[in-house]
Amino acid sequence: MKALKTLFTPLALATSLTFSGFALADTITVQHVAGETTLDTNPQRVVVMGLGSLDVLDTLGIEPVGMVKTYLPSYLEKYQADEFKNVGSMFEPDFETIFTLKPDLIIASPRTAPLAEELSKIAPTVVFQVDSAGYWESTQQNWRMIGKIFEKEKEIEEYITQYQTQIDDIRQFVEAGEIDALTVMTNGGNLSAFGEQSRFSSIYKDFGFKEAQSGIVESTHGNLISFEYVASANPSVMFVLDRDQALGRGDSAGKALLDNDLVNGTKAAKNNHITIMDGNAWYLTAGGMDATQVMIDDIRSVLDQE
Amino acid sequence: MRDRYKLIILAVAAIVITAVFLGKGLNADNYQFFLSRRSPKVLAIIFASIAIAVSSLIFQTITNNRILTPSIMGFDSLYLLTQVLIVSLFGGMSSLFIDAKLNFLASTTLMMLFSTILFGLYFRKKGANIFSLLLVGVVCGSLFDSIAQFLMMVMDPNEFMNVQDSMFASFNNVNGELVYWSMFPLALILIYLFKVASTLDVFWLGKDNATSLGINTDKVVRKMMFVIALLISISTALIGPVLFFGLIVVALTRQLFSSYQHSVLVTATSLLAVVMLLGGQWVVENLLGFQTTISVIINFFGGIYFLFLLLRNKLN
Amino acid sequence: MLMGLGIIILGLSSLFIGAADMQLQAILAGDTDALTIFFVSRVPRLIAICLAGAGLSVAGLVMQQVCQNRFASPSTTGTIDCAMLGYVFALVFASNSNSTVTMLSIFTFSILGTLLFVQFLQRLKFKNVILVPLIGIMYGNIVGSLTTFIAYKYDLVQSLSAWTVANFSSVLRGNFELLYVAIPASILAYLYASRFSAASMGESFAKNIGLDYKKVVFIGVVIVAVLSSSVVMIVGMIPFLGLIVPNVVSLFKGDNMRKNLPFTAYWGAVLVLCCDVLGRVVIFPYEVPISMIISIVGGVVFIYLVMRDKSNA
Repeated sequence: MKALKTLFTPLALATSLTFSGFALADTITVQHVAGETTLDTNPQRVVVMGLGSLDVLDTLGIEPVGMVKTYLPSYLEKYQADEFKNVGSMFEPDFETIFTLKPDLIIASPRTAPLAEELSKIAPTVVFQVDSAGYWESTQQNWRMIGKIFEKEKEIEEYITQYQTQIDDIRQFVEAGEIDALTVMTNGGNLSAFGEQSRFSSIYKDFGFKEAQSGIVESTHGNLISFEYVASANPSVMFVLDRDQALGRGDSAGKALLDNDLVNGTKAAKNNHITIMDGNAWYLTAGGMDATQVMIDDIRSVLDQE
Repeated sequence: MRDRYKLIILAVAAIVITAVFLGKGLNADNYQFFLSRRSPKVLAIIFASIAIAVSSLIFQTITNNRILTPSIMGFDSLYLLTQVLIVSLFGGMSSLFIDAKLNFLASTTLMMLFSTILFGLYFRKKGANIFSLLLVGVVCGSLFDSIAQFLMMVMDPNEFMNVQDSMFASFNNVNGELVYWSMFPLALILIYLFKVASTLDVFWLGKDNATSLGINTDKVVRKMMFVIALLISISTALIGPVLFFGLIVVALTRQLFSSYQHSVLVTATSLLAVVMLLGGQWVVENLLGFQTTISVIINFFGGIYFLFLLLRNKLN
Repeated sequence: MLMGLGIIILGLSSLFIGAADMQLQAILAGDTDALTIFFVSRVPRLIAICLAGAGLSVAGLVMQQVCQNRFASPSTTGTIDCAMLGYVFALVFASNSNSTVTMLSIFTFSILGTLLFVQFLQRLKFKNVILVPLIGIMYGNIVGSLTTFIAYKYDLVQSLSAWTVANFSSVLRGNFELLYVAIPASILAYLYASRFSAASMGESFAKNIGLDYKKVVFIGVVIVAVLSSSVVMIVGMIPFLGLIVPNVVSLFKGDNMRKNLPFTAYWGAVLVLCCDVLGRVVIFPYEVPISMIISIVGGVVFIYLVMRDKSNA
């Protein structure tokens, strides 16, 4: 691991000192999933452990010093550069590299939330977690937290208002039409269904769709289903996440898999209301701003809204 | 005499590689944090490798052959199955599963029960052929895996996540508490083994000879099974299953050391195991850049080595 | 007679168990939705199950003759593991290829891997029945760890588990037709049955009665590889099936391969059908992958077979 090389040189220390002297800092306390954290505003050296939080910082024009680099979507490609340090994977943070980076703030991600305690031994740590029970609600909380830390509350509120309007529009339309939807994920030729409690809960809770076949077991992981299940659920709208594609296996295996008589017999297929969701946004960078916009666009593309 | 030198060399190598692991890139500024992170990890690897090596050695002693090891006979898979069973029966949020110490006690107890049955099954037949034993063991292992998978499939997926985290323990997210706790049973077992080492030595002469020398073989075998079940629980809980590691280490120990005394062999195989597993982990981290896990590498080379052993055994 | 009845009853139960609610009256009444489900999903699934079950069992039978060993089968001679390696290889190094390339890759790997193993066996001339499956399983493990290694390198570990776990839940009209290859392959196996039987007596015996031994073995391996590859590609890995079915059949019917082949195919289909129906009802309306159920059943039967094997006492 090259990253394990100690970067500790007097020069590095000197540069970090000169930069941190610029912004005026207040001490604040923020709330998050794993409790509360007290820290100084405008941290200069930030480490992010998730792609959603990286998306938010990128939108706000804040450059972290270290991040998780696996599965970076194309619009965050610039962080592949060597000046940004790789801090391990979502599952296994590379604690030593993080320590060596001397961060002022660590933004942990859902996968590494249990490790927040461990990370807070290095620097103040906040958890940026998309709660599958309420995507939009928890995302707003996350954004406001980031806004508070970086003193960009005004900007954040503008974003929230902008998205809120779009979401409300869709919601009204969907609820008026009582549209039902089925969310499936394709993975290596298998189908799994996702319900209201799953990681794709926002489709039902935020955008107001009804579940096409109620009683999909409450889980974040989805359940193996057959195409018959799809046929008997007969959804008006179908959302498809091609997992192989989400992880960068760039072929549309998912689309081909769904092109069959059973799926084509559903209302969704007849009215051309099947959409392949953007895997990056829904699966990897969920909670980010670009990602949320993509999600909204994905939902909108399925509706006959002009 | 020469064995003693080899032991010293191995001990030095183990100390050096541990030091390399602990000391890499330390400086006045980061040593406290780095050591607090590294110590549990290194200790976990050390304890687990000792547990694996010693359990394999003892297992070979009481079965009086050189190819069987507990993990090949499906004992690792058995441990994972007990984990899944605990979650299925008591739920993933129960203290039995969450609390490392309680979980350890519960799984070891279940392991004991199962391994007695399994062992009884393996060795019930008088003069059963070693290869059929091996085959049954291998199939049992995959059978346990399948049952565990099946249970996980029909389990609540959220609970499944809990199990999954515990099942694939990795070297980087070691349960610190468990590491320090496992020190006690491991130390007790080693002390006990040194006390009964001479009894075990007699086992090499075969069961009948041991019996005629006035040793109650059945009683010793039962005690040793208990010890083995404990050791496997320790190693699997700490770093997860590594199928062939025990086999490789014990076979290499026998190659290197001419002694038949368990007091020597237990020490030697423990040291060698530490050197190999820490060394392997170092290679994975520094040369392969985490691109694969060490268990994949162990399975690949271990499998080849196992085939070689089988064939040599066959051709002689 | 009774056997025919058995599979008909099972087949019917398979046709009427599934996530979609479908009544017999609806089909008879010509309800289009019911008909669609019936002909697009239920019938193909039934056919795929029978083909895969029969095909793998026949493959096991052929393998047992070629290796001159009772416990040889696609899952104990590395055939299935090599096929899986070929699958992953194709997906990694030719990711946007069509299914023909994937199929060829799977087939090439499984045939080469199996030939390697068979050559190896012939060189060593094992007399011990148990050693062959033992070495075969280990060989399979080694190949499997190579597959995992590649999957790790390309972040495919999770996809890999989706590909290996066999299930018939996504079988539909139009995506399982490759399995029909089991029919010509099984017929070929039947035609060659006596030659395989002769080959199973050993090379010198085969040569004495004027048989081209190497050619017969090669044909046997090709049949096995074709059968295993098609199942691996469409369904996934089904462990132990080719091992237990021929052995259980020969317990009742003796050792004549030509006579046993139809029975082997039949019982293979029945077994897979039973397990699949079970997998559909355990956590209805979701499904439990068949490979889990088969590997539990197969593992138990395999252990029983090894335990009762007289030659190891």
